[in-house]
Amino acid sequence: MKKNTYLLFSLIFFLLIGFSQYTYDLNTDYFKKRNTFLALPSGKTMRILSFGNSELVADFIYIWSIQFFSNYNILNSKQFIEDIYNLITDISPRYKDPYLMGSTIMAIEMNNIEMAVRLLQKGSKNMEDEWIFDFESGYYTSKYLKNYKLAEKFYKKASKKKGAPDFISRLLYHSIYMQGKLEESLALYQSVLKSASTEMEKHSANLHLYQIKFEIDKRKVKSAIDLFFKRYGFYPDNINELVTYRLLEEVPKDFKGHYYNYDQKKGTIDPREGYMWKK
Amino acid sequence: MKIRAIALNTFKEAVRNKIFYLLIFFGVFFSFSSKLISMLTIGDTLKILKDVGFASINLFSVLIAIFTGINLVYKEIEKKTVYFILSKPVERRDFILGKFLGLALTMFVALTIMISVFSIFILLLSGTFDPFILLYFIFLFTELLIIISISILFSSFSTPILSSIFTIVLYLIGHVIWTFNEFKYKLINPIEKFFAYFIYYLFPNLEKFNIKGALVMNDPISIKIILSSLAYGIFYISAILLISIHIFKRREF
Amino acid sequence: MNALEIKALSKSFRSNFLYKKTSILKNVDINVNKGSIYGFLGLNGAGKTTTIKCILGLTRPDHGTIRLFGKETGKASDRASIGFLPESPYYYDYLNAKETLALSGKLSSLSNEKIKERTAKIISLVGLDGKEDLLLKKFSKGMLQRVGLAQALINDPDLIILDEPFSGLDPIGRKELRDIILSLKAEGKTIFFSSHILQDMELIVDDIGILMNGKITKEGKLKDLVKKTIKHPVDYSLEDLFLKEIKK
Ligand SMILES: Nc1ncnc2c1ncn2[C@@H]1O[C@H](COP(=O)(O)OP(=O)(O)OP(=O)(O)O)[C@@H](O)[C@H]1O
Ligand SMILES: [Mg+2]
Repeated sequence: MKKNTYLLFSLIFFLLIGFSQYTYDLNTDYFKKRNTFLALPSGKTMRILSFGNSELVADFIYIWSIQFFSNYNILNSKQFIEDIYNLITDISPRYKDPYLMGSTIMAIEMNNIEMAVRLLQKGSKNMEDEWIFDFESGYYTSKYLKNYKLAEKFYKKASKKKGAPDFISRLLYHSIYMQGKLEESLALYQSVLKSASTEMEKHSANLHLYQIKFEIDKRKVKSAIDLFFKRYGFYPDNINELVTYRLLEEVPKDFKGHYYNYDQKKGTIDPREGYMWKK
Repeated sequence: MKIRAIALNTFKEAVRNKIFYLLIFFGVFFSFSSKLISMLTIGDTLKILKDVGFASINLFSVLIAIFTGINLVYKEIEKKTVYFILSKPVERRDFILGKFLGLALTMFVALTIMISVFSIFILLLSGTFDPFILLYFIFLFTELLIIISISILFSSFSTPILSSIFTIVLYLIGHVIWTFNEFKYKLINPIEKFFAYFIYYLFPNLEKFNIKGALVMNDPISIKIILSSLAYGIFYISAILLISIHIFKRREF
Repeated sequence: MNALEIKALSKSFRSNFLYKKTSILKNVDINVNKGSIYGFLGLNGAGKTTTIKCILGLTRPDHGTIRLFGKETGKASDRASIGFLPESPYYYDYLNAKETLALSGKLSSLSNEKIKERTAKIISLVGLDGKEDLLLKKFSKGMLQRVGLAQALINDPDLIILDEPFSGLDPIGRKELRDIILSLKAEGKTIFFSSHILQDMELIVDDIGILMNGKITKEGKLKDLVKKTIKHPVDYSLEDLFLKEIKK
C-alpha cells in the first residue's frame, strides 16, 4: 500500500482531470458557428517561403481550402474565397484544379458569376492551350448571366483551342442564335449539317435549322402583318394576302418545305411540325 | 530548502547553456520578423503582427521546454551527476520536484523575456498594450509546465531521443485531441467508446491553453473557462509528477 | 558498535530483458569498526561499487541488511552522516568548486554560515586554494578528485565512503590524500574505501576485506592477515596476500 502512495494520488488527480475536462466540454460549444479572419500573404511571398516546394504548398493550401469552404461552421468563409484561390493560382499558375474548384464554388454556391469568370479567365491566361476555362466561362455567362454576347466570345476562344470538343462549337452557335443573330446562326448550322457525319448530328442540326428558319420567317411575317394591321386595321385572312399587297416577297415555307399555320386572331404563324426542338 | 537548492541548480544549468539564449534569441527574432511579414499584407497589419509574434513565442518556448526538460533530467542520469545528489540525504521525490521547479523557473524567465520584449515591440508600433497578454502568459506558462512534467516523466525511465519523440508526439496529440468532441457521438460500440473516452481523458488537452486566436480577435474568455483550464493544468501536472516520482523512486542507478 | 555493518547482502542484475539475472553479490558480510580505516579490495567487476551503491541507497539490494552506526538504513536522512566520493568524477561542470560545495552543503541541510565556514576549511584541506572560482569544466582529473573529496566532507560526516579515491592522483596527490585520510581518522571518523592501489592502501588501512566471486573471502586486521600467512616476514605484503587470494 505504502509503496504505491504516489501512484494512488496520481490516480486521484486523473479523476480530477477527467472531471474538469468533462465539465469543460459541457460548457464548450465545439460546433459554434463563428466568423473567422484570414489574412493571406501574396503568392510571391509564399513561393519564397516554400523554399522550393511551391507546388507542395499550393497542394496543401488547395486541400485546406476545400475543407475550409466545406466547413459550414465558419460563417464568413466565402468572404475570403477569391483571395485564397488567387493565392493558390499565384503560387502554382498551371495547376488546373483550383481554377475549376474555385470557380464552381463561386458560381454554384455563391452565385457570383463575375468572380468565377474572373478566376477562370486567369486560368485561361496562364494556360493558353487549355480550352476548359473558356468553355466554363462561356457556360456560366450564358446559363446564369444570359449574356450571350460574352458567352460567344468565350466559346469562340475555347473552340479554337487544341483538343476542344465539338460540342463547344455548337454552344457557340447557340450563343450566336440566342443573341438574335438568326441569319448568321442559320449559316453556321447549315455548315454543321454539311459536315455532320452521324444521323444524330444531322437530326440535331436539322432541328436547329428548322427552329432558326422558323424564327427568321416568323420575324419577317410579323413585321409584314404589323404593317398590314397599321394600314387596314385588321389582320389579313391568309399569308398570300401579304404577298398580294406586296408586303412580302413570297409565302415563307418551313425548313422542310411546308407552309406554316396561320392564326388569324393573333396574326402569327406557327410551325406545323410541333415544337420538337423545345422540351 | 533542498528542493530549492536543486531547483536553483537546475536553473543555473539552463542559463549557463548557450542554447537557452539561442532559443530565446530566435523567439525574439522571429517575433520581430512578424513586422516584415505584416508588411506584405493589405489591411489589418497589427493582427498579422500579433499572430506571427505569438506563434514564434509559442514555438520557441515549447522548444525550450522540451529541450531543457529532457536534457536536464536525462543528463543527470547519463552523466551520473545524479549520484552526487542522491548520495546526499535527499529524497528522490525532492529531486523530481526540484528539477520541475528549476525548469519552471527557467521557463518563467524565458517567457518573461520573450513576451515582455514583444509587448514593448507592439507598444512601440501600435501605441497600445493589451492586458490580455498577461492571460496569454499564464496560459502558455501552464502549457509549458505540462510539457515539462511530461518530459520529466519520460526521461525518468527512457533515453533522451525517445523522450523527445514521446514528448513532441504528446504535445501534438494534446493540440488535436479536442476534435474527439466532433465524433464522440458516433461511437456506439461500448468497448470502442470506453477506449476512446479513456484516451481522451488521459492525454493532455493542450488546446484549451491556446488563446492566441481569442487574444488577437479580442474574443471574450469567461472567468469560468479560465479557472477551469488552470485547475485542469494543475491537476495534470500533479498527476504526472506523482507518476514520475513513483517511477523514479523505484529506479536503480 | 560498528560504523557499518553489512549482513548477507545479495544483489543480482539483469542486463537485458532476455538474459537471466547474474548474481554479483552473494551474501556479503562486512563489518567496519568505528574510527577505523577499512580497505575494500576486489578485482575489476567484483562488485565493490555495487556494494557501495547499496549502502547509499542508489541501488536496492535483493536481500540483506545494512546498518549504519547500529541503525538499519533505508531512509534518505540516514545519509546525513555519510560522505561519499564516487568512483568517477560526476559533477556539474558548469559550477565552480565553491558552488559545488555550497550545493553539497545545502543538500545536506547545512546553514549558509556553516557552509561558508566548512568551505574555507575544506578547500585548503584538499589543496584547492585559489581554484575556488574556476569552473569544474576546466579542472584536471586530479583536481576533480579533490573537489569530490571536498564535497564528501562538507557535512562533516562520521562515515566517509571513498570509491577509488587514489585513481587519477599523482604521487604527491596520493601522499596528500593519505595524510587527509589519516587526519580524518584522527578526528574520530570512520573511512571505508576501495582501491586498486595496494601500496597506498597498505600504508593507511587498519582492516581489509577482499571481495571475490560475490563473497567476502578475507576480512580482518591487516596486521593479522598479513602475519598469519607469513613465511618470510620481511617482504610479505598486502599485494602478495591479494594475489594469493585471487589464485585460490
Ligand atoms: N546496472 C547494472 N546492470 C547490470 N550489471 C551491472 C550493473 N551495475 C554493475 N553491474 C555489473 O556488476 C558487476 C560489478 O560491478 P561493480 O561496478 O560493482 O564492480 P567494481 O568492483 O566496482 O569494479 P571496478 O574495480 O572496475 O570499479 C560488473 O560485472 C558489472 O557489469
Ligand atoms: Mg568500482
